[in-house]
Amino acid sequence: MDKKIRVLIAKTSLDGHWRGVVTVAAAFRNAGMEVIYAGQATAEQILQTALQEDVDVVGLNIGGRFGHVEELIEMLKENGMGDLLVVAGGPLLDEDIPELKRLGVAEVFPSGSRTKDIVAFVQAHAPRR
Amino acid sequence: MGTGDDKRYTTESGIELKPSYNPDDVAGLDYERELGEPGQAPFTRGPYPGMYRSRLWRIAQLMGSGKVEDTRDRVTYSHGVGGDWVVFEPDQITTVHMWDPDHPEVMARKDDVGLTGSPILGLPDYEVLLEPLDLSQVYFHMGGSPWNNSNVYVVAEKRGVPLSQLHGTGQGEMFLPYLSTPFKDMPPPSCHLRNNCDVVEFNTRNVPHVVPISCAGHNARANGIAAFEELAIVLAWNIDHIEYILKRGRQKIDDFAHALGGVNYSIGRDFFEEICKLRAARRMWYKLLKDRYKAQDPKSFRLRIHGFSADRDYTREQPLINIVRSAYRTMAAALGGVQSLGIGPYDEAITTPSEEALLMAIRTQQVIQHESGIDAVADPLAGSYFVESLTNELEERAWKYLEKIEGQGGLVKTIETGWLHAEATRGALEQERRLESGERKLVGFNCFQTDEKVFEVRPHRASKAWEEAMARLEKMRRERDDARVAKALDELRRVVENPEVNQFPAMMEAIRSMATIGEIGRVYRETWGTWNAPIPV
Repeated sequence: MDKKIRVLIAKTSLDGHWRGVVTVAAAFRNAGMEVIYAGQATAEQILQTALQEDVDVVGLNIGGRFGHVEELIEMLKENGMGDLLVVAGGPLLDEDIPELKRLGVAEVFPSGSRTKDIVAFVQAHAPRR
Repeated sequence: MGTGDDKRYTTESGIELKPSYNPDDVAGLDYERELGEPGQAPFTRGPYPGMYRSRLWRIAQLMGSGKVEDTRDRVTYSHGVGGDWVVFEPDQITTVHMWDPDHPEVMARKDDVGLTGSPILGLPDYEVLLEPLDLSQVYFHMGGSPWNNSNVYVVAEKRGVPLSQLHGTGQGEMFLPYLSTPFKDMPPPSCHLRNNCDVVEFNTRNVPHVVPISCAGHNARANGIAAFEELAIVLAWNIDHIEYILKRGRQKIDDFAHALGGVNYSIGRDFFEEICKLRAARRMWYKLLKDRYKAQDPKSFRLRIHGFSADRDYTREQPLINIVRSAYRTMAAALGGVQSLGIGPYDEAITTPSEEALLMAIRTQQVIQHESGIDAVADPLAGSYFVESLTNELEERAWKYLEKIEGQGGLVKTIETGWLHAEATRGALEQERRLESGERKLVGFNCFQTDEKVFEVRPHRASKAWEEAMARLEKMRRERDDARVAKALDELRRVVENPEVNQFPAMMEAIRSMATIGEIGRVYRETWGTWNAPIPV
């Protein structure tokens, strides 16, 4: 039997809005995944939690600029977690999506995205380990 | 022809609606007891007799991002086009978290500084922000914390403007920092309550025309709380404050009730429910003050309402449709009798609002104020079978919800235990389910979509503000008298430790001495510890 997909959700900025976070977390759980929430975390804190919790997917809620996204993805690679699936969501501009993908975010789900699309993407692309 | 009764209609908060209403629905309604004239008990029909004939509602848009100068210029611009509020949105990373720009949490996110407000660090920044303003002629929306208010008061003092000549409304509510957008490692909610009560006491004695704090139901609604629940939690929040102040024993109910009777309610998409909610809010406030607290001063009974509309139902898709949404919410707010109103600019779902979007929000309100005729007659919907019946129903449900909260020890307790977060989540998840299934229509989002992009907006991009903030911080540290700062912070620590003392004199001296926001935050955290919201993920 396949092991459950483990998803770490974290906020990269100090912005506190969490409605999107609980909405997406509930959708992941309903789809049989396990969810860990790191809250408003720095790249280093996200990395540490990802290592400790042995997650397959990192879901970033981005309420700020992208400096720490770049930092985090570099850190994941350096720590042998380059195969993790990184997805992002939040109040993001369409015109910024290519930049996030260039940094290594597999898919971007700006506010207004359907949870079923997010869940389907994660199920299809989470690394099988 | 069917009457359509196969489909069930409910309000947004779940109250079932009949196809039409008639005299039977308001059979027991006693005009004098339940409605009264506008400006008279129980104030259901409005807090003032003349309502908009005496004064139109204030156009009260939020603004601020980027550098301190950017926020100052936006406020000046807003005034020039008819906005009535002076409001400076503080940067979340620095000012709101009470961290200086060189705090590690800020250093980890330098680029984000300025994105949602300006990094305001202390007195020199307030002097820049207030520079173009005649303090006695403007209406402030101060942040509402002892720190925010003290900064304005110290600038007034330096300019020789008596505090009695300042006008405005504070905020200082708890749903923003502890429920809807909880900040990290903040002082516990009970300490926030103490801060607020210090502001209430100081203002009622020294700054009589600045409503010290204002509970913002909007911030809870945006997270999934329903309309009648909002009525109850705003009231419960005020009850916690009343009890705290009465327990302190220095003021009687009529000394401060009017200062708590300025509140913020969300104006959401359900037109009639929001109108009725505002009417019910005034009547409930009156009953609470009259029956439970035995207030006697007529001023104590008069609830004034600021309406605010910016919610999940503003879409990212076809964003100019949001102008229509905000326009009809403006109508609802006016029919409900608000004293001031802020509406979501059309680009709110996409970005921190642009200058053009702000202008459109102001123009939207002006069209309704000056063209629709809505200013002529107070509470024009009074007596409608439907409106009176729904007002009653909302009130009844709100009292029941209030009982639930009080049964748990009050509003602050329900935040501390996470009960309110769970309530909001329940509402939010249900709303999302209905939106995604298409059961709850949202134009452009789940119906009437377009393949091509229409009504595009140019996103506003806030300027980065960390470097400038850091330079200003260093200048403050360089130019001040360190001995005076240390003494002021010691004194602040002493009064913060003692809940019986009002912290204002010490806070004002700390600000005069040019203590920074981070230093004041450190006093709070070291004295009170920190708290993080129990988000039910």
